[in-house]
Amino acid sequence: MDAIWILESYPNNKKWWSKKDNVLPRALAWSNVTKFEKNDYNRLFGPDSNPNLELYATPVEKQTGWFIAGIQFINGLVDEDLNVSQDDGVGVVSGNCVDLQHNSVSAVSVLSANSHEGLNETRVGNNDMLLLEGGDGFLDSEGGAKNPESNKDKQPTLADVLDEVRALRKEVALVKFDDARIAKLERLLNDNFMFRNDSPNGNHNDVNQGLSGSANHPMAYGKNDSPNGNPNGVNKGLSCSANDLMSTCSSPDILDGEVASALIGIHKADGKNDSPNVNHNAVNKGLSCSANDLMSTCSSPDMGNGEVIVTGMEIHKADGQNNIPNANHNAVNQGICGSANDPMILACDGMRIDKADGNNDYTYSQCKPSILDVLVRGFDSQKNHPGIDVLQHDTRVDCFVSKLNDHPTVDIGVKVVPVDEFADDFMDVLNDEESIPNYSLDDMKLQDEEEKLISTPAPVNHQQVDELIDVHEDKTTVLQENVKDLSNKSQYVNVVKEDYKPCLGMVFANVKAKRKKCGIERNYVLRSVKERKKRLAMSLDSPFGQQADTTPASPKTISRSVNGDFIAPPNFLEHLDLWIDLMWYFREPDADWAMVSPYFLTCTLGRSMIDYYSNGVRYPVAWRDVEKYVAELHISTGVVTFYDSLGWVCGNRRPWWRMMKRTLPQQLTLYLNEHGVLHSKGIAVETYEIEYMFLKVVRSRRLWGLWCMDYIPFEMQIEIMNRLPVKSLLQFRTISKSWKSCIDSSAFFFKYGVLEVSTGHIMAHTVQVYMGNSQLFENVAIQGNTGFWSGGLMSYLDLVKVSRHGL
Amino acid sequence: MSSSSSSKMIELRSSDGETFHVEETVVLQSETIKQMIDDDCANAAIPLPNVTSMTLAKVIEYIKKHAEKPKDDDDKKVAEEDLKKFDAEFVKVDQESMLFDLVRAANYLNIKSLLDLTCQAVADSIKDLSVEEVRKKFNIQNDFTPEEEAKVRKENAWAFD
Repeated sequence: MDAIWILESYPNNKKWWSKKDNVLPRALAWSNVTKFEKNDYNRLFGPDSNPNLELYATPVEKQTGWFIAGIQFINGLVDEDLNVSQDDGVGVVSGNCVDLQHNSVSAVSVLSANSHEGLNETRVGNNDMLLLEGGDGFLDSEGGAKNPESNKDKQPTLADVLDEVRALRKEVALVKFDDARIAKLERLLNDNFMFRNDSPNGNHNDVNQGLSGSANHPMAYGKNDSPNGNPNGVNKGLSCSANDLMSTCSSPDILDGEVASALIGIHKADGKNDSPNVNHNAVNKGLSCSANDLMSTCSSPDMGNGEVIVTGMEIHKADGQNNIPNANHNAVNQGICGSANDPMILACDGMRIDKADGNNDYTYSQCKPSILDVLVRGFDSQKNHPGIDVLQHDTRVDCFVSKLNDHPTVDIGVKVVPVDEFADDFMDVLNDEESIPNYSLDDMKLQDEEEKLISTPAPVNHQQVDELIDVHEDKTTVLQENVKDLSNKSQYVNVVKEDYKPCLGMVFANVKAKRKKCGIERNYVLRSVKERKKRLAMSLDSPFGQQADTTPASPKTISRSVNGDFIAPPNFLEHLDLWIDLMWYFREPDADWAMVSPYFLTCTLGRSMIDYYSNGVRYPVAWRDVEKYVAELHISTGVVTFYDSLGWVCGNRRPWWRMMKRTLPQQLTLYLNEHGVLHSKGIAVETYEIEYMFLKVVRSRRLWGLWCMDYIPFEMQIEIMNRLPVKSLLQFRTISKSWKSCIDSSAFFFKYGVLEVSTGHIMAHTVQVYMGNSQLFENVAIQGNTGFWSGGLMSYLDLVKVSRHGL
Repeated sequence: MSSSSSSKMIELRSSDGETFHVEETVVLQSETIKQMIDDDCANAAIPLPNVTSMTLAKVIEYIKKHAEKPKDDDDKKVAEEDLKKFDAEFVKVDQESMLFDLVRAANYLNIKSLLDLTCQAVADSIKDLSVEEVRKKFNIQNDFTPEEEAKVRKENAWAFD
């Protein structure tokens, strides 16, 4: 087929394709089309549908060449992005992927490292975010935590971050883990990277290191849930706020020497966000978990074997009974704090567990000494087992201790060690190498302080959140221009997830919208809904314009990333090109065509159209709307033929339609030329012109548009069945249920039998067929007795009898 | 052709607006159009919204050929041979979509002989195809589960050897 298919659809059916207004409809899917009726809308796309289905390729599909090529293509973009971004040192909008169908779009991420003057170069050396290298780097870089004011100077440059990221990628590549593990690490990397870029923290003297996830599939997001959590604080480690994430945290992969060293903080940002205060002016180290499901994780042997104990865990259950607004305020929370319901397992591992039962028991004074002993033993074990990789870094401990020393507001003694003897033990551990001059052991003082903090924190922090967001947005706006190109590229960082699906939505995720959605979970949700509605409304008016406007990711980016030498015409940012580009890249190797649509794109494999797969669930497309504008470009002639089932194409005066007609010739020509399509066909680009042709195909009852042209209705299929030889017919019973039931039906059999008899085509195996299928034969016999087809049928039955006797 | 001069001309308009003038005697092979004429709806051009001009031209070519009446018996035999040849050539179309168009047009216009011819042509073209190829050709969704399909296949196992 020497053509490019152009598929245009109703603008308002965009809402069916995409559950998010800011994401171009994802449309890389594959398979044949199914019939789709209007009454299926609700189930498939409407209120009854599950919009959170993720689309994954089936194993078979993953084997196909075009799919692999697509993955490689995206991976290539990732590498390119990092290289390019690194040269710049400017903030990069590292939009993480928008999950395909998730309404909860990930946050935007603006790395605002450059918003602070005086980038600290010294950080580069020991600032190891590399998960594989253990957590020493985290602590080394904790200087900022000692003194929030100095944090401004300690901001890592983007280059540093990218160095780290790249190094991590290398590490990942070097380590011969299995695929799943690498994928997981890559995911962590992505989150890590994005977490760094989460600007609310980045803009506020904050060193945010580690992984932050706040979504249900947090790894894909990296949305920082704690914009307030970390002002003036160092939030290091894995910070997760999702329920589903917990298993991740507990997985051996993370903990066996890789992430274990990275301090893990897991906050569940579930509206009852516990984090705003948790890390305020605090160094939150260790695993901080707030999910209910987390406990099994924390109790996993991997965590207990001396690694996590060192880093310390902090587990907060943010279950509405927000238990820890003050827990870490101005404090260094070290060790393991758990607030879950089945804490005992954790306790066995030397973790500190607080039950969040409404009674805030977040002081260590309420801990049972035995538990504290366990905790102490945990720290002792650190000393006794220096071989444990996490523990063996002296720098880590140094840093830790020195931080305590330098930061007067870090009130370890009170918080962590309210019990005197414990305090002694604890301090002994801590003071092994260094003494800690300043900390308060005054219980009363602390409690007063705590009460104050408890009463005030929530509103204050909300305000703070807003401010932060505002600031953040301002800066983003400024940055946006600088980094526009880069941003487009860096969006691809997360495109390929563990499951390797070509998420176009990720590729084209809208930076602007995501930026606005950055914030704490609460705001985020509200905003996203509003945004969605607004944008949807806008997009309905002028889909082309809006889409182009809101989709900064350009095909040029792709082209340049791959080809390197393409010069982008200024108006080449039309999303139509995106589709063309992508369809070209993802096409079947031998395909010479692509099918594109600004709203819905589909590649046709052979002549089959496409629908969605989602974990085995077929997710068909509302072809009824799609097919209203279908066009085909014949490359050699340059004629675009519109198949228009309603006759609306020719005289359509809608602005978006006119826009497409105006821009399509140029875009198509450019595209075809750029990719050597014209050259391969011996066509000179100078003389190549696109013409329009309109082919009116009046709607039919069953099939629309293109389908009217290409496929024949079922009634006609029956006619054709009637003329098939028996052997083919029996084979074709497996085509579909309708074919089978039709072929098996007595009515059809009569007709067929009569036809066969009358045309003298009965062969020996014809009879065998129906002998073999007694049911069919019975049907024939019964109906035959009615004499309905007396003449032909009787002779036919005679033949049957003969054959039977013969057998 | 002898009576063509006296025959009334019927105007047919295809879906894309082209008009064709065909003798009434020829066009009466279409039961659909015959019905329209009988109902006296054929004073103006008859719109055929389901048939494109390309397809309609093909159909008219067919019905014109089949409208030719042999003068005598000798001629009849020759004409039959000729017609068979014509039919065989007629369904040899470059594009499969054209054949499908013809099937649809024959169905819509209700021209029995053309429907037989084209359906037979399609049947011949698919009879040796695999099940999957036929699905693709007709854009049929396989709605069997693998187990069901295996079961049906087993019923006809002998047909697959």
